[in-house]
Formats: sequence, C-alpha cells, structure tokens
Amino acid sequence: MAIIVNLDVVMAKRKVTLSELASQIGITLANLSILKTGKAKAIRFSTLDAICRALDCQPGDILEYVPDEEGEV
Amino acid sequence: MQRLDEKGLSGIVKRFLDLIFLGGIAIIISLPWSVKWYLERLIFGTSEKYPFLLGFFYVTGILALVIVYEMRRIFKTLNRKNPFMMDNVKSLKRIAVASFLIAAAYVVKIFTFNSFLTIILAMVFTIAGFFSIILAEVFYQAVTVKEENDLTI
Repeated sequence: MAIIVNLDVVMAKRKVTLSELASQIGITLANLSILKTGKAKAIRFSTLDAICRALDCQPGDILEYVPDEEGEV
Repeated sequence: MQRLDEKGLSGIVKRFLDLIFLGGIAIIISLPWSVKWYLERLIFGTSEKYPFLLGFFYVTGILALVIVYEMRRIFKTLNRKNPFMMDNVKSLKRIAVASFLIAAAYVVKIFTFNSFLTIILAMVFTIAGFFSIILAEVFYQAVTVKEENDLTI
C-alpha cells in the first residue's frame, strides 16, 4: 500500500507542533504520531476533517498516493 | 464483559479458579494414597489395576492442571480489560492440546478399566478440545480486527 502522509510538511509550513495540533483536533499525541510516522492503517473522515480545518489545508496536501512498482506488495 | 467486572462476581470467579488450581495440586500430590484407598473400597476393583490407575490419574491430573493454569492466565487479561491478545490465542491452543490428550488417555482407559463414565468423559474432552480450537480461532480474528481498529486514527 502506498499512501504517504505528509503531515509534517504542512505542520512545518503552518509552524504548528505535534502536541499543539493534537490538542486542537482532540486526538491523543500517541495517535497523531502514529499517523505522522506512517504506521496508521486507516483514518476517519472526522479526523481528516479536523486536521484540515486546524491546518487550513486540503486532504491532498496531507495524503499522497504513490503507485506501487511492479512486483511490490 | 461487564458482568465479570463487578467486584462480587470477578472476585468469586477468581477465588474458584484459585481453589480448583490449589485443590488439583493437593489431589495430585495425594494420588499414591488416595488411589490405593479408593481401590480397596471398590467391589470390582483389584489391586493389580493400581499402577495403571495411578499413572492414568497423574497424566490426566497434570493435564487438567495445565488447563486451569491457562484459564487463570486468560482470566487475568480479562481483569486488565485487554483480553484480545495473541497470548490468549496460544493459551487456548494449549488448552485444546491438553483436552485432546486427556481424551486420548480416557480412550486408553476404555480398553483397560472401562465404565460408562470413561466413555462419556472421552467424548466430553474431545468436544472440549474442538471447542477450544474454535475459540482460539475466534480470538485470533478478534485480535486482527482490534489491531486494525487501534491503528485507525
């Protein structure tokens, strides 16, 4: 699966730290860092909505699809 | 599992499990004497069956103790409100293996020291073994779903 999470890029642009963002959108620091480090398996629309509202961005700014190469799982 | 969470019930179940475990250990230790005592009182019992019965009860007793031990371990994860973990899948598989071994021992007993109860117990422990295998698979699928859910932000 090749969905890349570019959360750190947008956070840097908006000069927001992980803990600030976590408290703004109401999810735990642990969950947010799971998302940031690419370990998450799924994201709820409500979470995506809260992140985009807090960072004033589009989902495409945060999520990026990279096609898998031939033969990769 | 709110029922086992109330102070009264979970305490009672834990005490029962502890009682069965300790009682089992005490019975196994006393086997050389209790089997002899019991055989002397049986009308159809003969003392030449003593070695077989002693070995039989040792084997099934220790296997039953293994089952109760694994049950106590699963129960502790219930108290921690986190029962869906791979350890419990392994515990259930060990319970299944122990049940099947006890059933096999009872099948052997059918040919050496038979009774109605022996046949029934052989069937009961076979069913218990299959039940544990199915439960292990249920837990395994539950763990998979839980891990997916835990990683959903």
